[in-house]
Amino acid sequence: MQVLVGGLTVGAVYALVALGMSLIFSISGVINLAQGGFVVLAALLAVALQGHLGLPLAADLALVIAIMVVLLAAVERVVVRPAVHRGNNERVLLVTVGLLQATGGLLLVAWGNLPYTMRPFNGTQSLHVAGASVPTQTLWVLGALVLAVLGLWWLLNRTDIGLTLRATAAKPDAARLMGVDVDRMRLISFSVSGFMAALAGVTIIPLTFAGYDTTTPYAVNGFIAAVLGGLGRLWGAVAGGLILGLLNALFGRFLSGTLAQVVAIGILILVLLVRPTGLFGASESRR
Amino acid sequence: MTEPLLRADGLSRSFGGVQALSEVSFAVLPGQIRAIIGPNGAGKTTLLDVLTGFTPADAGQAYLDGQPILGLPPHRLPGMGLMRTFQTARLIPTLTVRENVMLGGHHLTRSRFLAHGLGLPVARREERALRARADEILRFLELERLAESPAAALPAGLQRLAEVGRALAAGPRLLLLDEPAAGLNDSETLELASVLKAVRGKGVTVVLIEHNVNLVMSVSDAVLVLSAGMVIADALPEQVQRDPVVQAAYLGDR
Repeated sequence: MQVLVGGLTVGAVYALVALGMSLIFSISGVINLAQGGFVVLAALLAVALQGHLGLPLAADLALVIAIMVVLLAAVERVVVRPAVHRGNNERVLLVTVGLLQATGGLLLVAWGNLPYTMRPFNGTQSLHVAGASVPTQTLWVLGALVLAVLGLWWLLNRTDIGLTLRATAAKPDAARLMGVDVDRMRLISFSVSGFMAALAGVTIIPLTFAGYDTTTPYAVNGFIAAVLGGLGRLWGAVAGGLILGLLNALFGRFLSGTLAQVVAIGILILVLLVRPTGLFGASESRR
Repeated sequence: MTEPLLRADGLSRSFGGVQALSEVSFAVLPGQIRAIIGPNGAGKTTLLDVLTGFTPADAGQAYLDGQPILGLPPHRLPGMGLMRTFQTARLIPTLTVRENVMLGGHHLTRSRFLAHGLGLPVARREERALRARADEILRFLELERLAESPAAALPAGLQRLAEVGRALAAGPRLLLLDEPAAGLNDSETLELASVLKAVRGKGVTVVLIEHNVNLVMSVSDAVLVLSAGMVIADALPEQVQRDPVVQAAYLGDR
């Protein structure tokens, strides 16, 4: 039970990373490997803003969300868009790897090589559920995932922008004919994934330590989760993240943490070999 | 003399050694239904592709209301009032018919992403207006009972009709239709003819590529005939029908 709680918590963060990656991929075909790095950036921003400005929690969260939304829009406009216009998606993939490294480097310069954490939102007390102790912060993390999923569903299915986003995801060329500015759709998808990175980073940081060297694990695990769920499939990304988190926790509990990472990569390779469309991507058409 | 809404000026385009278009010039007056006919391979679809920026022209320019349109990115054209449909409909297969039609009107909405993201009333109002307009168009095309079907589930002929609806939702001044009657049966073709006349009645200018001679003769105000990439006739429908050059081109007797 305790393993389940830990696994779901980590899984929710992977799910948020994977959700952002899958959203961007479905809309623009770009695999944004830097998404995991942005989660850590959001986490450290939250720590810094709280530490230096003494902001209350709600303001801290709102400010980090605003910064990440604007920052990722800028990243799309300044880095990704020129790359997309000039090269193919494989080359853009390398650009996002560069972005991930650059994010790690920025963190090292700005925050140094120390790991950071933050006080939990509601203190350190835990709830006791079925024999397991559940930190209240876990509920914030899971709540963030639920909020992201509901928000994204609402945006995609209940708004005009969502209609154009879905159209772009299904058939970019046809959408362009309808006057949809595909560049703008990509920018929006980056902004929304910035929102998700902020939610993930700010809610998970009280439960863990983050620093410049934790960007890659988030990026890798988020990518594995996205592939597990079928890249570009939003609900698959959520399921993939949660499954990966649980597997990680199980292997970490009964074997070792290092081995858990090997197993995760093993799963990635296995999925790509046997079911490249992901566990949930069987019947529908490919992108 | 009214100014033409669309003017093509010396459009040329070759693919390898094939001259698909050779100095094609013509003008379309506002409020007209202008048919473009010609044997297979005459360059009709290439002409639409060039006009809508899908295929760059080797030479020439086209003007919409005096504004040059060649070289503009395709997503700018709906905003200028120019919409087109395709021989094989390009609906978004996973969206419903109504959503596809709503998408056509999307560029008319003004509220920005932020307004939608925050669910502001202005965005909701526009969303409702867009939906109402789509339903009105679907009623006009007698497609309302299919509004909730995924576009991919429609037979090809109805997909093309839905595509006309999507183009209409954009509130175009000029509608370019590529063989809208292909795959329609006789009664559906008759219905399409009345739809086209009603569209013209609403002040929309139509350029119609069509093989169905009956449809062309019954609805069009003027007919442009292409053969081997060249304009061989540009006249009233009944004149074109009697033109020996046109008859020769269609019978391959040249």
